[in-house]
Amino acid sequence: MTTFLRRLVRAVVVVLLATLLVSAMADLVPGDAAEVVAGENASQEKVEQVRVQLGLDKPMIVRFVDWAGGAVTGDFGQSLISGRSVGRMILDALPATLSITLLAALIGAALGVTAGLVAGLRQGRLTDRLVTTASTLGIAMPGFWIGMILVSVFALDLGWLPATGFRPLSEGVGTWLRHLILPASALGIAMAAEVARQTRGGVVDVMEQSYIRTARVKGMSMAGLIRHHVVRNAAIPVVTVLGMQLGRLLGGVIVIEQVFGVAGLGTLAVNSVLRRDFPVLQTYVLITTIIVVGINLLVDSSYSWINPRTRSR
Amino acid sequence: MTTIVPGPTALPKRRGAMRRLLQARAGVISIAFLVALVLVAALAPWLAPHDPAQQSLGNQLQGPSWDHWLGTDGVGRDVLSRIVHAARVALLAPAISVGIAVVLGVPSGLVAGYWRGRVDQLMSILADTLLSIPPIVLAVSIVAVMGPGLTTVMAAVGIVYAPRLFRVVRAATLSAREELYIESANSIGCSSGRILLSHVLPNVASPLLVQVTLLMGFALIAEASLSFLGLGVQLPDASWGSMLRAAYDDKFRAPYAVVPPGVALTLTVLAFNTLGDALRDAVTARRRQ
Repeated sequence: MTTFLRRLVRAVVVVLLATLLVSAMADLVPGDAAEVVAGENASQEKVEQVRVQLGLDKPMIVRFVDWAGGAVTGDFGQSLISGRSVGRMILDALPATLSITLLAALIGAALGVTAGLVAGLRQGRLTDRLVTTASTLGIAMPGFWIGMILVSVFALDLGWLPATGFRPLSEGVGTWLRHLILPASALGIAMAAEVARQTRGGVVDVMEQSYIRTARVKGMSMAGLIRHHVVRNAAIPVVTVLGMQLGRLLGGVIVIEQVFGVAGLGTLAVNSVLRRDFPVLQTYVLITTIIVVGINLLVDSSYSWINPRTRSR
Repeated sequence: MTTIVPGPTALPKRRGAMRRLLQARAGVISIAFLVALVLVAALAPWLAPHDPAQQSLGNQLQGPSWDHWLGTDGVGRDVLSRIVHAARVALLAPAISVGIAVVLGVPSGLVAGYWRGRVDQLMSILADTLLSIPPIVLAVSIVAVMGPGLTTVMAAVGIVYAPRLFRVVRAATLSAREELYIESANSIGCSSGRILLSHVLPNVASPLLVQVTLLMGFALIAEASLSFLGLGVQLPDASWGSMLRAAYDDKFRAPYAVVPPGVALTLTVLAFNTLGDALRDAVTARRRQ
C-alpha cells in the first residue's frame, strides 16, 4: 500500500508540473490574449485596458495559483477570448473526443488482442505471416493518413459514410456511429497493430515454455490451454502496451479531429495554445495528464493482480 | 602445417552484430532503401523531372501521365518532383530532431543512472512530466513559443523525444554500474567521467542505437503531423506532411491525391522501423551467445 501511496504522490506532482510547464511555455509566446480580444486596430491604451480587465497584467505564476485554487473546487475560470466558462467549453467538446477515443480503443484492443492471439498460436503459418505483415504496416502508416485514405475510399468514392463532422448520441445511435466509424478506425488501427505485435510476441514466448508441453501431453484441450496458461502469462506485456497506447490515443486524436473537421478537445487545445487562452489550455493539460498518469497507475497496480508472482517485490 | 581457422569468437563482437544484421534480409532491404533515399535527396535537382515550385494554371490536379508520373497538385506543380525534393526534409528533419534528443537525453540519462539519488529523482520526475503531456500538445506549445517553421518543429520534436532516450539510457546505466568491471575501475581510481565514457557508454550504445533508429521513424511522423497542422515547413518549400495537407484540402476535386506523399512517408517510416528491429535482433543475439 505504501508503494501505491508513493506512486500517487508522485503522480499528483507530475500532473501539477505538467500543467505549470505548459502554461509557462505559453506565457513565453510573444503577444497575448489581450491583443486578440482588443482587435487588430486597437490603440495601445485599449489593449492595456483589456489586459488589466483580463488580469493579464499579473505575473503568470499568480494567475496559475488563482486558477489552480478555483480548479480544486471545480471552477476552471473563463476563456480569455470568448469569456465562456471553461468547464462548459470542455463539456461541449468532450462527447466528440470521448466517442472517437473510446471506439478507437475498443477497435485497437479487440482487433489487436484477437489478431495477436491467433497469430501467436499459429506461429510461422500463413495467418501469422499475414498478421505480422499487416501490423508492421499498421505501425508505419501515420494515423492521419489512414484517415485521409478512409475518407477518399468510403466517403468520397463509395459514398457509404460521411466524410466529416460529429453527431451527438442524442440524434440517434445510427447517426452517431456512422460519423464515428472512419475517425475511430483511423485512430484505432495503429493501436491494433502495436497491440497485435505485442500479444503475438507474448503468446509465442509462453507457447515455448515447458509447462505448455506438459499440459499438452496431459491431453489438455486447446481452449483450456489458452484459458489457463496462455492468457494469464501473456497478459503483462499486453496490458503494458494497452496502457501506453491509450495515452497515445489522446495525442493522436488531435490530428484526427483536424482531418475529420471535428470540434473536440484536441481542436480546443491547439487553438488555445495559438491564442494563449491560458485557462482553457491549463484545464486541457490538467485533464489529459490526469488521464495519462491515472492509466499508468492502474497498469502498474494491475501487474500483481494478473500475475501474483510479481507481488513479492 | 596447421592452418588457423578463426572461429566466430575470434571476431570482434561488434562485427558479429554487424554480420548478423547484414544476414537478415529485412535489415539489408531497409538499409538499401535508406541509402537510395539519401541519394535521391542529394541528387534531387537532377533527378526531379520538373521544377518543384513551378506552378501551371490550367494544369491543376491532373492524374498520372507521361509528363507527370504522379500527376499535378492544386496549383499545377509536379507531384513527383515535390516528393523527390521533400526527401531532403524527410531525412534532415528526423536526423536533427533525434540529434537534439540525443544531446538532451543521453548525458542526463548517464548522470541520473550513475549517480542516482536526488539528481536522479529530480530528472526522472521531469522526464515523467514531459512524457505525460500528449506529444502533439507539447510540440504545438514549443512551436507557439518559437514561431512556426521547420527548424522550430525539429527542435520541438527533439525535446518531446528526449525523455524517451533519457529513460533508455538511465535504465541501461543502472544495470551497467552494477558490473564487476565498473567496481574494478572505481577501485583503481578511475575518475567518474572516465568510467562513464569508456565503460558505461559502450554498454549503453547498443540499446541506444536501436532506440535512435526507431525514433527516426517516429520523428518523421511527428514532423509530418505538425506540417499537416500548418506549423512546420512553410511555402514554397514542401515536406510530405505539408503536401498531404494541400492534397487533403483538394479532396473533393481529387480524392486520391493524398496517396503519393503518404506512400513515401509510410515506406520511409517502415524502413526506419524495420532497421531498428533488425538492429535489436542482431544486438540481442550477441548477448545470448
